[in-house]
Amino acid sequence: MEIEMDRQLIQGIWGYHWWANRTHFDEVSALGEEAARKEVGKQFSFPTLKGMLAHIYGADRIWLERWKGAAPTKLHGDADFASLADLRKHWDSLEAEQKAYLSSLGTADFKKTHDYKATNGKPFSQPLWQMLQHVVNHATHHRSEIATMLTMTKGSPPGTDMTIFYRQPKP
Amino acid sequence: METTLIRELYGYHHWANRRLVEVAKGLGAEAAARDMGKHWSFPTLTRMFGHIYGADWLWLQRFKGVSPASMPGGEFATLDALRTAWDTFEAEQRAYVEGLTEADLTRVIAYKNTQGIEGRVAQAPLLQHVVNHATHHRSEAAAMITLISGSPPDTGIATYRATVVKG
Repeated sequence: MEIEMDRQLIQGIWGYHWWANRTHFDEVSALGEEAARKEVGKQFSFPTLKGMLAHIYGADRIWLERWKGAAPTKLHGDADFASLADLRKHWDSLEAEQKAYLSSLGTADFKKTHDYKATNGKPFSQPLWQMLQHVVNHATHHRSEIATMLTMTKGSPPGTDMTIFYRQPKP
Repeated sequence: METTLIRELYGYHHWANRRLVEVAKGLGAEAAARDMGKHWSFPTLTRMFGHIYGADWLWLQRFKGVSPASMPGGEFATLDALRTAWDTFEAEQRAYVEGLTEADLTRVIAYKNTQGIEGRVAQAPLLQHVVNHATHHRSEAAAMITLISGSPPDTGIATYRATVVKG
């Protein structure tokens, strides 16, 4: 049976999300721990590559916790990780948890409204599908910053357009 | 559900584009034309927004069965000139997105990119690609604006839903 289109749409962008995160993480890892901690500029949301990656991880994590019904108040970031290797370990485990969660979702789950509180305590209520799109879009914003920071550090990194992702050989 | 998902994504896209272009216009003509450096995809705010417009235009042509050999976006001397062309295009793009059916979303788009390389991808992920592509360049525009005047307002989907759509 064909998978419903809405699952394809959501799971498609999440497959892209994991691929693009890993592409950038590998680029940063190749530069080494020292380059990843170097301040690149205050015009960026976070001044270091490690800080930027840790923020993508932190936002992904807090949203997953909300979807699972918890009320997290802590947004993880740079200071929570001793090194890129440490962040990678946590991220691998989060990614596995995200994959299990995403594949458990059906059409009815996407439409279900979730109540949650932002880290400042403000209450919000939204259907799940909107938040699932938000997380990927949020990360694209910061991945763009990472791409510029990499360009300033060592030259332009490989593209992470969705069209490039679709052309990858499928497993 | 599927067409709603795409339509609302484009509602967000149009809002975020307008929000940032307004901020950039407010900085004045000199700032919008200022060379901000070679480490950006495009060196000026005018050219960066011109590229978002150009890519959006190019993909809409492909969805309609035409594969243009080049992408517009470099022809605008000012943000005002771009705004005029973009307003017209945005209306056309909105009408197209509003008219999409669920069958349209799974339709395979066969296109040639500007280098002549052929691609075949279902329309829905390509519609998502256009918005994701723009978010990448909006992020660059936001960092450039930060360098010129300080951080611009947020253009995230969560902010859009909470403050504009309110739901």
